[in-house]
Amino acid sequence: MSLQSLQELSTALYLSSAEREAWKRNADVTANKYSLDNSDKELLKNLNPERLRFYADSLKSKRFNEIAQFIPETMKKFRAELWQHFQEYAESYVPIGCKKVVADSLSFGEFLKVANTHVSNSLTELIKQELAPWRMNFLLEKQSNLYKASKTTFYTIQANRYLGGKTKIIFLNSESRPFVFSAYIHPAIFFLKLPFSSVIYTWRFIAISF
Amino acid sequence: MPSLTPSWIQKLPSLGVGIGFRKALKQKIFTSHTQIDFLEIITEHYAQPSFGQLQELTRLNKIFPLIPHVLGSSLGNASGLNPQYLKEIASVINAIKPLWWSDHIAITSTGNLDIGHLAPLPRTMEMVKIICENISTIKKKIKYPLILENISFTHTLGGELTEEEFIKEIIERSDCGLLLDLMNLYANSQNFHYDPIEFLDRIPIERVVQLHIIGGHWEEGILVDSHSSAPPARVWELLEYVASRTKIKGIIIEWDENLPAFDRILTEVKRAKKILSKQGTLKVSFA
Repeated sequence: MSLQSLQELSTALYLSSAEREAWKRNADVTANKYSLDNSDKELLKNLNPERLRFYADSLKSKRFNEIAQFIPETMKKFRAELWQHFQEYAESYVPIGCKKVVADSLSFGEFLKVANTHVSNSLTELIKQELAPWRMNFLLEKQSNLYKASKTTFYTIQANRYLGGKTKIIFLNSESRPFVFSAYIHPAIFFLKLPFSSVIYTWRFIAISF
Repeated sequence: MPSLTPSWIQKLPSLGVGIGFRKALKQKIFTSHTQIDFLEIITEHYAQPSFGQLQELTRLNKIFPLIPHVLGSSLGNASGLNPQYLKEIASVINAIKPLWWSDHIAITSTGNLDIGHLAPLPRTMEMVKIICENISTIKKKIKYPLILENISFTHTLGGELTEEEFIKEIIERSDCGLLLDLMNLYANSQNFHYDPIEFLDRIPIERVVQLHIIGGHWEEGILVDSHSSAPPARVWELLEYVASRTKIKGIIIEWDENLPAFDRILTEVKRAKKILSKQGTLKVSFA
């Protein structure tokens, strides 16, 4: 339990400038807040506040650089403004899990939308456009368990037979964006007279039924 | 004198010199595949893969030996491993069937909070016990040999053990191999003012399976392991020293930022290959 508390406190110090300030003001109060015992308090005495701040800053810039791959155009045009907003955003949300970078990008987009009183319109519009395919991709991948269907080639051939070649892009495009697949899958849904909301289930059906 | 190297490490084949797979390098890697002995992939990139990623992974696995490198399992987490995360990385690693895979002696998350990068652990025996328990849990899910990487850090949380003792205790108690990141070692030695050769003499060097080499940059008087430049001269010297002391199974050039022309990366690969080819005949000493 004691190491757990120590790790919770050190994580808070890495992620929150408010916690770091409080720690600098009175280390004992912060340590007590996290129920640290005396031996853990001793360990934390080794923390150099300047090095801690350096590490915390590097975490933010690492996150910022990682999301750049999802919003290259917005980064190119608005890098300075984005960085300013990102510093505020990064204090309020921390992504988790294997897909945390895309989750972080989407969440940052949402943050800008909500905070739009002081974000330029052209920035919000551009980031919205750039994140749109990733948003759909992320949601669909999360919901459709596509990764379970590992025999890609087999499904491609079978799906092509079934839908007269119309599903080719769904399976073969190496960066299959959901909007591309949607364009092909929607007529199929229409043809089968399925409600639009069943798109996920239709996709699952196609993926697992051959 | 009998070798101290565990038999399972001795039995591992030598892979040679490879590079870290990065999407931006993809086409060049495929076209230059004869010059690259193996690839290290970031395991998390292929967790819950799209079809495109599955195809990519299948293709890579056909052409190169792949070594999965895990970034965020948080082996040092005192609240235990995240079972969902573990399941996802295990599915990727077990599908690849690698010769070995690697993770870090570090923490990347606590509870539901993700730190976002590798953070140092307090160097205590209690921490050693926790990380060994976590490794034991992970080894039940992933049967392939695990090697652990030393990290670079800008701050420490202290503890009764030195960094060398801490690494030794973990590696030996959990019977893991060592992924020795020479840039991490060099950066720590600069930032905390110690001799990296003395460090190498105090860790279980016979357990080194793989090396990472790359360069970083200086910022606010701190040497940062940013994977953004060619390995500095001192890292090459350390590589020669390690190669003279133990049989290395693989070296990865770990370039992430400021990617140069691909030929430059291949030049570093060739240089590392030259050093590996001399293994056993090198007599390196440092004054």
